[in-house]
Amino acid sequence: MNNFSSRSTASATNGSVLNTLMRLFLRDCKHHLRKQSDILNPLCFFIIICSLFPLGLSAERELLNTIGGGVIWVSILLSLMMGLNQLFRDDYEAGVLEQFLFTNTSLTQVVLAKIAAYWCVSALPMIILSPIVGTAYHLTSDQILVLVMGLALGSPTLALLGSIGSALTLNLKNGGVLLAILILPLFAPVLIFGAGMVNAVHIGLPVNAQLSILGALLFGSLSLAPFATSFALKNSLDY
Amino acid sequence: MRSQVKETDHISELQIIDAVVTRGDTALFDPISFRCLSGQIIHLVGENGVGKTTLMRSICGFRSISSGQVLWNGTSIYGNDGFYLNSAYLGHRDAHSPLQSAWESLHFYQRLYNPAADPKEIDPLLNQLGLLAQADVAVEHLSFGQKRKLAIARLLLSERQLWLLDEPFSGVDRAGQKLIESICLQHILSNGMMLITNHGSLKNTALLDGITEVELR
Repeated sequence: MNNFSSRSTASATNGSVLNTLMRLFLRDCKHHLRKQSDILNPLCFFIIICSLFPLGLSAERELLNTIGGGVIWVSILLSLMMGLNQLFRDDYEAGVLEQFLFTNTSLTQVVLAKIAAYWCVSALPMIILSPIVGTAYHLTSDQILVLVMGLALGSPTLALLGSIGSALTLNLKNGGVLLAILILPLFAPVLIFGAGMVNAVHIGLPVNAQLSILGALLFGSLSLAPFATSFALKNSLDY
Repeated sequence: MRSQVKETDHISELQIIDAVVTRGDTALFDPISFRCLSGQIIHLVGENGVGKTTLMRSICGFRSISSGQVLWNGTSIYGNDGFYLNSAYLGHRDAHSPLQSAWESLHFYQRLYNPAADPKEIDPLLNQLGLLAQADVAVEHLSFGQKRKLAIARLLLSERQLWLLDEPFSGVDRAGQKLIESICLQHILSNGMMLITNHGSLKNTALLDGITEVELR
């Protein structure tokens, strides 16, 4: 059985690439579900920041409505940062990451699957909770709709951009702060358009332009970030 | 089970020519050259800190060598699928995700190495390594030696010709060492080849035949 017939690149069909992505995605989801702190910590953090603002400012209806969109966006952004540090760390420290080099599975595929799983377990629950948090800020139903749409389009961009920083700081012992310094400025455009939309819709302005820009940012980062991240991951194996 | 048949028609060659590995600006050891053919074991020896692991990681392509060449069948290994799809690496890290069970982890690798393989092969393999009772135990709850044996199981699963083994015997008990030796011997007898770093001599072991020591200094 063990004849070591020489192997070369198997011509991977589209189907098998999708299968591999799916398997990696499910493996990562399972990993997050077993390590529940991955899901619960950012989610609790998000809820707590959102509830601290009204306590620190005032419960005035107009004020809360004005800051609501921005506060929810910033809270999600910071909560997503928390998990980014761990995005590749478990597999890196276990030595699993370097094993992908010895397979047909490219690191880019691994990166895509990990980002997707990370988004599903951390961003998605926050997006689902955001309408409830929004009502605490007296957001109108139009504003909540726009908020959710903006988050749905913007948060994958945050995860994609964040993955680059996560991979770059992977072999640093205390990369957490550096990661924030590297990545938070990159989040600014998403924040500006996402939070801006929530206020714009309140004064009756159209939000099509902002939605289009968020969409463009998403597709732009989707087509570039995984390659940058996998390149950074390859570099992190040099120790 | 894994019946291993002697095969001689497929000879591969890993060739290291004047390789130098540096950390910062210092070369870790004198330029080194050796070749490893099918059926051979190269045993890298040298003192602690001489750069055995670093050389091993360079041969894997994780870091680049400062000068010299690493060739697989005459072609550079960098980005060479012919090398990567015919070799398996066991480093200091066992490469098993701590939250997966032993079986799950092997299944994950089996699908990566060969999507068409039969998951039923995993149980006999765990049995061969004496880990069948731990099949459903999370890897984080296995002992150090058991994790090491699980990593050997992954090598067998990969069915690759070239094994790159960095301290495969560390943390493994006497019986386990004998077991790993016999697995390595089987691998060599069935036309496999390996590069191995290990403290202490391999001369007293079952691996006596086909072994070449290469000293780093």
